[in-house]
Amino acid sequence: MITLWSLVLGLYTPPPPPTPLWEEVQPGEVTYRMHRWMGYGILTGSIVQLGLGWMALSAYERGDLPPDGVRITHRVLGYTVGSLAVANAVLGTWNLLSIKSGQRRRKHYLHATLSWLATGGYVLAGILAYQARTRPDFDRYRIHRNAALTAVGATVLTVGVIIW
Amino acid sequence: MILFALLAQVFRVAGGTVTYEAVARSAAGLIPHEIRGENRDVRGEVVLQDTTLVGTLYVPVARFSSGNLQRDRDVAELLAYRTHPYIVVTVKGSAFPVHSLLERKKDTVNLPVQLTLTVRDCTKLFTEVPAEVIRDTDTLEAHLALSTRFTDLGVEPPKVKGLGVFGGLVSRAEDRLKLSGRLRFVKEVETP
Repeated sequence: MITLWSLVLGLYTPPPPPTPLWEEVQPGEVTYRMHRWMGYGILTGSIVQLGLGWMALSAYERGDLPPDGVRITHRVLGYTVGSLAVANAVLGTWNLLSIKSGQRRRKHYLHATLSWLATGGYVLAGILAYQARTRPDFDRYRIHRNAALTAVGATVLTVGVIIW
Repeated sequence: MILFALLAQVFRVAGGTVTYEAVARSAAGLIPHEIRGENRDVRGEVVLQDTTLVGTLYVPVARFSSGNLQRDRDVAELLAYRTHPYIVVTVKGSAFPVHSLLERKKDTVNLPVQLTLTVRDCTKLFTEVPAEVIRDTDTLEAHLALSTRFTDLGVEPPKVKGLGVFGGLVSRAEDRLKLSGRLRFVKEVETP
């Protein structure tokens, strides 16, 4: 109990500190960290894909075939990034639903929406790539590139919204 | 009656917020954006006796909410919340009008207070901080604000954590900080 003298003499001690806010409102630590690092992986993979895609498309524009290493790596990495994007979007939605409803912010919903749009973009880019490969057509590769660029842009916005 | 009114009156924190406001710059310093963190879990007590108001407030470091949980966590770790869970604020205001103690109706008093802020191991004294104190029968409401710098409180301006030297390029706070408080106190006990 506080008294004048305890306050004056500095004998008053505060109660134990409350639980950190992020422990109260956040989803499980493990799923949260997984979502973060998978997001960074998708962003990094996307940037590498942009480079490989640019190399491949430049070769086509010159009338050459891109080196096998570039084509195969681009394809494998594309499947990886696409799969990661789908898994991470599902994990992110799970995390969002784990947050107490009163603590969900608008930015969480915006991040989730952009994330699903980006995921849709990666899947569409993959489908377009398959179509371009089975029925080779330079314009189809360009459309695939545009879809991939849109997906990467949405990914950057997704990360930016949640960091801010 | 006068003697009764001049006995020490103890008021406990019963609500309100302590807020920090800072400006961060992103994308290598090109894009400014404001960051505002609110803390609704302040604890402490103040004593009003004669014409003096003194008190100690405890602001839990891990309870600021700025709209970004990761940022809140990074700031709390920057302030070493595990070893220093509270920002300690001591308040001293002199020249509280006697007539306000005697009156049983609501009264607003403007008076300069002296604040001592202890953040981690750093203590900083602020004098002549303007405060507005609204006194009702059994409650006090205090509003005050001050401007300072992170470095004055022994804290490096925060930047995005986990990216090493690149964290500052992504987002870094400017070295200026505005602190404000709007707290409500309820009378607890009167002691001689």
